[in-house]
Formats: sequence, C-alpha cells, structure tokens
Amino acid sequence: MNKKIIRVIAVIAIALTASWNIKQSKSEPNKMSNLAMANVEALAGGEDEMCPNGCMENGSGCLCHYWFPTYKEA
Amino acid sequence: MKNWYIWILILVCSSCLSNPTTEKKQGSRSHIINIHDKITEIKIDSILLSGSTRAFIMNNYLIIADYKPEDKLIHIFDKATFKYLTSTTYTGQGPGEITIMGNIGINENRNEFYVSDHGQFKIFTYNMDSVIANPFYMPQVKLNIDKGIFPDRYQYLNDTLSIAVAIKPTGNSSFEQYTARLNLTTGKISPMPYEHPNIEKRRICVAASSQQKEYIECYQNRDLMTIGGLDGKLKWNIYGPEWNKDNHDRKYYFGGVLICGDKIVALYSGKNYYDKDYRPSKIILFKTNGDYIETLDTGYIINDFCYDKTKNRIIMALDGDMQYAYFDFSNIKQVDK
Repeated sequence: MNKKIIRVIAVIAIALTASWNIKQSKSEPNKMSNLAMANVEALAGGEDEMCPNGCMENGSGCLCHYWFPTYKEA
Repeated sequence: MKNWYIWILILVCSSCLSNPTTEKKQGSRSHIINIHDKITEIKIDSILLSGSTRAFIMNNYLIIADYKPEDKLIHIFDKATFKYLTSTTYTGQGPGEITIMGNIGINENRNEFYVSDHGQFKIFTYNMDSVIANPFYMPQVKLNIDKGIFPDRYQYLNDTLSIAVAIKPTGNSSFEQYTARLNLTTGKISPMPYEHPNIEKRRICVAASSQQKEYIECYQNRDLMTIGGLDGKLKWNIYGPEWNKDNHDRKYYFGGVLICGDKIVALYSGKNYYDKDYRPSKIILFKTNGDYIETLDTGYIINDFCYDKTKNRIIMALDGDMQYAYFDFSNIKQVDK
C-alpha cells in the first residue's frame, strides 16, 4: 500500500515538474539561455565550431547565432 | 534592305532608351578640403566611454550608445553644451535590461527613442523625459523582432515607415542584407523592390528623408550609392571612381550615410577592409540627386556620426585619443558646382 502511494506521489511530482518547465519555456520564448549569454563573447570571437569564422572587433555588423551590430565579419 | 536607314534609326533610339539617366558615373572626386583644423573636441569627463559607441541626436539631446560599457549602456547629454545629464540601462536579461544592444531609432515628435535588443529579440520604447527624471526608469516593449528577417540600423520617419537595413540569416553566420521599409507598429519588413543587378553580396548602410522623399543606399563593399524614392523606385545609381576595380571585396567604401538638409553626407574610406585602420576618415558631400560636391578630409578615423540640424553640425565618434568631436558646416567653405 505504501509503495503504491509513493509511486502515485512520484508520478504527480514528475508531471508537475514537466508542466512547470513547459510553462516557463512558453512564457519566455525569446530569452537567451544562460549558457548562450555567458558565451556571447566567445561566440563572437570565433570560438564556437558552429560559427568558425567568428566576428572581429570594430565593424558594422556580424552574425554569429545572434546579431552583433558593432562587430565585423571575418 | 531597302529600309536599312529605318533599322539604324530604331537601333539608335533603342540604345538611347537603354542608357537611361538613372546611371551616373563619377570618374574622379578630386575636390578635397582638409578640415582637420576645423574639428573641435567634445570633452566627456563625467563618464567612461568604451571605444565602441554610436551617437544619435534627438531634439535637445545627444544620445551616446556604448556597446562595451563599463556601467550603463545609454548616456544622455545636452546637445548644445555637451553637458552630461544621465545614463540608463544595464546589460543583462532581466527587466529593464538589454542583452545585445542594436540600433537606436529616434522619434522626435513623441520625444521617444527605440532600442533594439538582438539577444531578447525585442525593440523597447524609452521616453526621454522619463529617462531624465527617473533613474530607475523601465522601458516598455514596443515590438517583438522576427528572427527570420529583422532590422539592423534604421531611420525612423513615422510610426508605419522607417527605412532599414534588414538582415536575413541564411545560416549560423551567413546572412543577406536588404534595404527595406519597416513598419514599427506591426513589425512588418518589406524589402525595396529595386536591387542593383550586378551585386551578389550586399553590405550596405542607409539613410532616408521625408522632406526629400528619398532613401539612400550606400555600399560598404562597392563604390556605389543608390538613390531611390520612398515608394521604392530607383532614381539614380551613382558609381564612384573605383566601381570597376576587381578587388572590391577586399575594399571598404561607404561606412555610413546621412541626409542633412539638401545634402547627402557619406563616410568614405576606400581602404583595405582587412587593415586595422580601415574605417573612413573622409566625408563626401553630394547633392540629393547624387551629384558630387566635395570631399572633406578630417584626418581622423570616424566610427560613427550624426547631424544636429539646429546647429548645422556633424558630431563624430572617433577612433583614437579624441573620442568625440564636431565640426560646423558654416565654418567650411563649400563649392557650389
């Protein structure tokens, strides 16, 4: 009986966690992830393999996942 | 064959029609005036600015956007005295913060400016009076930016029409640029119908004027300026002396453009794009039909510039010991060609 109750509580907890996560992601669809935010400078510096050329300082705009308006295309 | 002269006449007429007056070639732009001594430094001692800033004029204020700030992102000055007034907005993702600051759109009628955030994909509205009065001012969201095609720099004309450089990503790091009409109420971006047929990779800067009813598109990677009506129809293509050179993808030509009253004012480099000091140090003046007037050689590397119409003055963000400076058009003897 105890095991059954624990299982039910576990299922409810997982369901609540999942729905909370979905709600969070829907409410802020355009927010940068913390990882992306932390890596903004690295991405722009060409340290990301998805963006090999990177961007250089002092330009009129460069795309590296995000748009960097004052960087320069390599 | 009897009517051969008719065919010749038709040929001559058709060649006249296929060489319309829209194409203007300027083989030399040789009237160069050195204005180094006419440039006055703007001393900014109250705050620390990075080397990556842009300047905007709005009514009585000079707005300086700092893209690598020590502290806040946006600084407000009195444009007549250059006295520092206030600063606003930190970098970040929280309420009232900007993640990756983009262009600042100026709406003088409403005393508002619009700050693009390319990290949060939004444009925020700032009311100038509130920014000055309230150090904890929170901007409002004006618009969500579409990731598929979005505005970079733009010139605000009214709520439904701004002329923008639109960016269309084609990969993680590749993109196309267009001159486009931007509706800041709906967010809709409509590329201008005219594109020069001989250019594959467009890297451009734009300006526009309601008074002149035209937009200017200057190429960074070609010695070319296109002038069109606000309806999108081509008026003139202005080809510079280096238009036909083969090494144009390594060269940097126009670094910015403004319409100042009855003149087009363009930053011009002509230097190698991969040089350290590739940025423009010259300013070319054109009439609004693209006819060349003269070249002003400042002797300074110019990162950005803006126009104060009440003082008839150009304010420049410079690369060097002198960060900001200005010159007055009234102090420069101009050639009336």
